[in-house]
Amino acid sequence: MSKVDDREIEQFLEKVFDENYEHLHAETGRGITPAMRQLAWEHVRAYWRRMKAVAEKVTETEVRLSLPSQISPTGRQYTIEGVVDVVREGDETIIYDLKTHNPDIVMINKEAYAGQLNVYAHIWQKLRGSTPDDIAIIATEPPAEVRKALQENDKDALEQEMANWDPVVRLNFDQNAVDKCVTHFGQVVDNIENGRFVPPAPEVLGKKKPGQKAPFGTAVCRHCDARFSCRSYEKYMASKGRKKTDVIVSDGSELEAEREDFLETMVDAETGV
Amino acid sequence: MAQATLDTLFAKMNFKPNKNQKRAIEHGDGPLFLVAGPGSGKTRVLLWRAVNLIVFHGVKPEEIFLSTFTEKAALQLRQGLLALLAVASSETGLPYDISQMYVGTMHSLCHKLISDKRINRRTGSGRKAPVLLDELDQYFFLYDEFWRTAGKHIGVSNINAYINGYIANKTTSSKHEAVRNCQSLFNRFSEECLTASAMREKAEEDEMTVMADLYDYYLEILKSGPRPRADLALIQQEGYRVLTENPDAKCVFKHIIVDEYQDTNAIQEKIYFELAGHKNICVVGDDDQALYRFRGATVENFVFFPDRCRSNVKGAKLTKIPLGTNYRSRSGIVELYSDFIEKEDWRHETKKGKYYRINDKGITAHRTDGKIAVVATSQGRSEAVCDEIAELVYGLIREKKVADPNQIAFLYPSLKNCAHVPRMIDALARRGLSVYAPRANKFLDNEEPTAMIGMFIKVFGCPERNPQYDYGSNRELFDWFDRCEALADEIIKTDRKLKSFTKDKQLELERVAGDYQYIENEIIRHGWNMEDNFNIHLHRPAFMKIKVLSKEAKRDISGKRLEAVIKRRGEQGRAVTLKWFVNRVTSLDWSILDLFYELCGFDYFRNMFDLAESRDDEGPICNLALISQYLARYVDDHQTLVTGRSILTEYFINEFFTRYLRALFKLGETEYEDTNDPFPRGRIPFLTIHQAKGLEFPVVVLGNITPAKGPQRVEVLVRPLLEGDYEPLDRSGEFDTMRKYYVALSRAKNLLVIANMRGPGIRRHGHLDTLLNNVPSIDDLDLDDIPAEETLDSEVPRVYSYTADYLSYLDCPRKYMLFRKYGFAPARTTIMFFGSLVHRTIEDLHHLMIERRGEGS
Repeated sequence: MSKVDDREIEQFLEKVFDENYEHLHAETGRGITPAMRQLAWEHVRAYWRRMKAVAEKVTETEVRLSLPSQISPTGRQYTIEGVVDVVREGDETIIYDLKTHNPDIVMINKEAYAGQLNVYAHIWQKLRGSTPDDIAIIATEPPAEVRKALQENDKDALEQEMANWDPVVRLNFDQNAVDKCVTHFGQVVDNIENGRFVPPAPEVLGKKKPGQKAPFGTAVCRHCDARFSCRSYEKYMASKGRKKTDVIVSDGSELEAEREDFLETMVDAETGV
Repeated sequence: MAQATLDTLFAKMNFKPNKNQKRAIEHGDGPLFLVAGPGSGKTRVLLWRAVNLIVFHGVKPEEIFLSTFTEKAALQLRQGLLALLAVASSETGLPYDISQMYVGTMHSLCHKLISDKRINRRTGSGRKAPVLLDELDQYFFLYDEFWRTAGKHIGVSNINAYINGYIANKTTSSKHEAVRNCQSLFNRFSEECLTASAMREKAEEDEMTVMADLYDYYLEILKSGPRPRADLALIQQEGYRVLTENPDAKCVFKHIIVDEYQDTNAIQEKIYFELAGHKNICVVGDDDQALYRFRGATVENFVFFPDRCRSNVKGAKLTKIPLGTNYRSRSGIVELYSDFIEKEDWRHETKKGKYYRINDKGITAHRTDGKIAVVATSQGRSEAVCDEIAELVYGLIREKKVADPNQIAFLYPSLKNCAHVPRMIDALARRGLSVYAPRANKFLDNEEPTAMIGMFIKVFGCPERNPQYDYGSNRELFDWFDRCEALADEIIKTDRKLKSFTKDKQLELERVAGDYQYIENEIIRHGWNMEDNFNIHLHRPAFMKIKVLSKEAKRDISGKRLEAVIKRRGEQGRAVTLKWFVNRVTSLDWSILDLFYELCGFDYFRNMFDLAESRDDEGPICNLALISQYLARYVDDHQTLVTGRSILTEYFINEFFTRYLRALFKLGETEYEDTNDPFPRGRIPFLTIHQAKGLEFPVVVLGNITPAKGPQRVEVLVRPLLEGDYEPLDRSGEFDTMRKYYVALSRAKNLLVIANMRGPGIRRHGHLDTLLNNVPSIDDLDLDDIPAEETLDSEVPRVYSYTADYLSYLDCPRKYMLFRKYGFAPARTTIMFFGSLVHRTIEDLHHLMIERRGEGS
């Protein structure tokens, strides 16, 4: 595609981005902070610039893949569903799963992500009769350098940083992993249907998951509204000599930034800006 | 792969359709009229019909228009389709994507239709759907924006009294009632597509001419403003307009399938016929189960469908198929309700051979055991009858005839102001049985909302009772506020931590209110204006010099972070006015939804979460979830931020308590209070007959058999403006009551119990009364004859998403329970919003690329 086309596509993206924002805002009644909106926009722009080759070749987008007639350990019938993007070129088929995550974290957690993609590949195989040639995750979070170059519109830097950034994490198809994963899926279905909703133990909250900078209790629970009424969280905080209403962060400025973002968005809404 | 056929799919799903079901599923082109009795598997037939079209007849999912009456039913259809198509897919090896398919309620589908580029040929903003106002939004719109000028517009000084007098025949100046009356009248106008000029022409009274003017004005105000708005009735008119303006639109859908057709209204009928360019319109319903006349539904659309079809779908032959076999109920139950409905004379007054009911339904029971399936209590006073029923219910649970108390439903024509209901609840409570009765009282009157709002009152304070208006529903409201506060006091008494938490919050409010006051004074002293742009060199030093200002505010004002924000906004050309700045430094950094979740951490509320986690009782958690949704709605639609100014001026208290909660309290119930299905474990559901529509229960108790009321006043007012074939007003009240009881009688699977109350002041429905003479009594019942019910898995296998279910459960089961299972409204939604925004935009990009390549090749 020519340069003119590129500009045209960017304009298109800008338009649909705004429309989607408006739609989501109308649908949910909620909004996000200007900073988050900016970040989302950078995800999209960076994706288009870096992944143009893939985007141009996508043959099916947001394909709903379902695996019916699964039987859980206690004999419940259920269907597994997932959504993927597909690129087919000649005889080659690649299944992509788009995530707004950081590629490094995906890399570190490869195994956890592999389960999902393996199941999708397995469904694809069942549906279409052939194993996909490749399965991969596209992790859309651009690195700080790319974001900076985008913000400053620094063409040279952008070109260089883009080349250094690889959002695609390729995974290997493994039938054994599929079986393991589907079995586990069935157990989770049983747990849900049987109403087992006990939170992870306090010790689990104290541990870091691979790739996470902070223990689960901080990285995940801190953002969960249900933490105040959660007994595990209370025990976890007590083990740190804290109350459950306290907030533990490694860097205090992170908290302040959150507060600032919250207030700015809310004041805008309230003041009618 | 072997050649897949519909029969192999049936076999795979273990479905053995009967002859008529099979005919209905396999019917190809041309109008189809399915008359489906209770328990006849109509949803299943609809699902398979759609599957057949998609899988074996090459119809694309987006070429099918499948509409139903409630969001819940739409969700079930969607889930069912996903499951069946997934099975089909595994047989045929082909994918079926229903993400673009039209499955939903009529108003949601109209909303979608307006911006569908296959239908609406206009571009840009011409294809933008108006902002949709649901019932509660519409109420607030009328109450505030519209009412401000409505009286003046029609030149009436006391508009409330005027409207209540005319529409409801009542002498009251209640604004709330006037708004409600207007709302129902306007909605009827819109549903009937009446125009103001036509109304003026036909109006028999001057008042109706005034109403026509008012309605016209309502439409005008809705259209004004930055984006036009439409209520649920008008969005359908808008959809219809788009259809008629785009002639190709009528051929976009190859098949129109409508569920619950007996509940459609005039505008919907117009839309369906307009959409049916291919002449494939399939309607399913049961006139005997039509319940929604008060919402504009006209059962006549269904009963006279063959006639309507002849004049609207020209040259097509209609196929009528009755689905009469009841797979749900034991034969005794089926015989009883069939008998009941035929007790009424449905004949047309003048036209011979014409009926207001479809007669030839061929209702038969599949489950024939010849044993007693319906019993009545002894004739007696309310107390005795309730006791007798409670004893039976206790026995049924003890003998394990049900797997959980939630399989026994109590149905009433109305739960509010019905003296038998509290008696029945008491009688059950004496046997250790608890009930789930979300509508027995106002929702807000339940314990959980009372306690939660009580805590809000402790934190924010409460509006004062005004002696001048201390009567009627206003008094009820303030009495409730008192109860809230009293309960909160009791809770605080036993929880020291909660007490100090409350104190801290109060102090915080005082602080921000004070800070606002000091800064405002400073601004006034300098003669500045709130709309002035904030000047960091001028205003900041002045504010920092205010001695009494809190240290928190000073920290904010002098902080680097805020300075950076202001700088950034300046560069982006976004305003920072003094008003903005003052709000920024004197507002709470939490919302009322955050407060809700913090309060949930104290023992009184936390025990409710524990009860749900241990599966002992789901009642309280369901109510808490609903409160969170109401609070979220307030935050989204009314006030996002609690500012120091809003505390100081009591704006917050007035908005939240006097306006928002008052409205919810007076409305009593809204579409938001969706019934939980399945009902909370461990509790016996108490429902109105309306709520029970479409549901089934192993055991049903019909708790009261009051007689029919006359037609609704709005109906009487609107009828002279209409043309066409309608049930006469003097008979429609009785007809509707027959249908209501028919629904109640046909919900039970194994056992139906009817309360046989007699005594002074107790009025009974004539036909039911007669019927009861031949119904055996509870004493005649042998519990051994009743089959035991087990927890049934849903008919169609459920679909679990890898990310939204599996991964989210693995992340934290408890979080999954609250937000996914019980529907709590999260306070912060950034992550979800962010993900959807990026995904949708990239999806749009991919679509564009695919489209372009398609054009290129």
